[in-house]
Amino acid sequence: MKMTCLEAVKRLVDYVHSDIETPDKDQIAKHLSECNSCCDRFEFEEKLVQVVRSVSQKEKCPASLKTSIMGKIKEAL
Amino acid sequence: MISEVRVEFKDEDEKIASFEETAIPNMDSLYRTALRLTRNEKDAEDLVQEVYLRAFKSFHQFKPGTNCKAWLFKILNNLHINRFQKSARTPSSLSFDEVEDFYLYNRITETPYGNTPKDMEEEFLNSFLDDEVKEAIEKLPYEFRITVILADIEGFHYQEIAEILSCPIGTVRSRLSRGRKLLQKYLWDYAKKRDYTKETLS
Repeated sequence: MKMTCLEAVKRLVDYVHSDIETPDKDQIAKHLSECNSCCDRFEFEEKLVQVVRSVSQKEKCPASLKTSIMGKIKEAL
Repeated sequence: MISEVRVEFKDEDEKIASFEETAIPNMDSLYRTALRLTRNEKDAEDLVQEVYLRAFKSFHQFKPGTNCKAWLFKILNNLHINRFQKSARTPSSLSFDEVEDFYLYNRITETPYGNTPKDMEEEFLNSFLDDEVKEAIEKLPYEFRITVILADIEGFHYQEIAEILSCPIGTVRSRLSRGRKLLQKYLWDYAKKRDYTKETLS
């Protein structure tokens, strides 16, 4: 059965997370390959997630915290 | 899968070595998450330290080869909720369903950005300041915030998130979907504010 845009849009949120199971996934992928409008939306959502991820992953734990935590663990032994 | 078994270590040195190898490398992830949860460095450091001390104490229950990062995040979420139980509740009086799907995409394709060529979209997406993205995440109600962080930043799957947060997969899915939409709305508010400022300055 052919998937409509409306159905695809509802599932795109899951699809962006690339975590939903086949055969839905195959159907959505097929719809995206045939429908420019949904494909644009999908790419936009995916890029947005990438922006949020890359901004967040820049933050690193201070080295001093690592040292102090390992110190406390060894102390507690 | 997060599973618990009893692991016997030869001695304390072996336990420490194993802990350093499997648990410590996840500290950046736990720290940046703790920052978004507590919204300040001091509390984030305290929280991460507590997670690690707790994790080491029960490290014999962690099954080698299973997902250590998920195990640590479960401890983090439980500790945080116990500490700040009141603020962990999503206010039920507010309806988050008002935010439409593809909120941000619809905004930029309908207004000044007009019939957006791809590079305009790209430019828009890259225009956000790091602090705007972080603040937008921090504004999310707790249950949405932790779900968006686990899925979109830390890359956990629905099943793992359900185990970390001890809730059904359907709940994870709906919190993620609503959390993402709300995040888009907050980001749009920043973009609007910036454009407005630009216009009034020029």
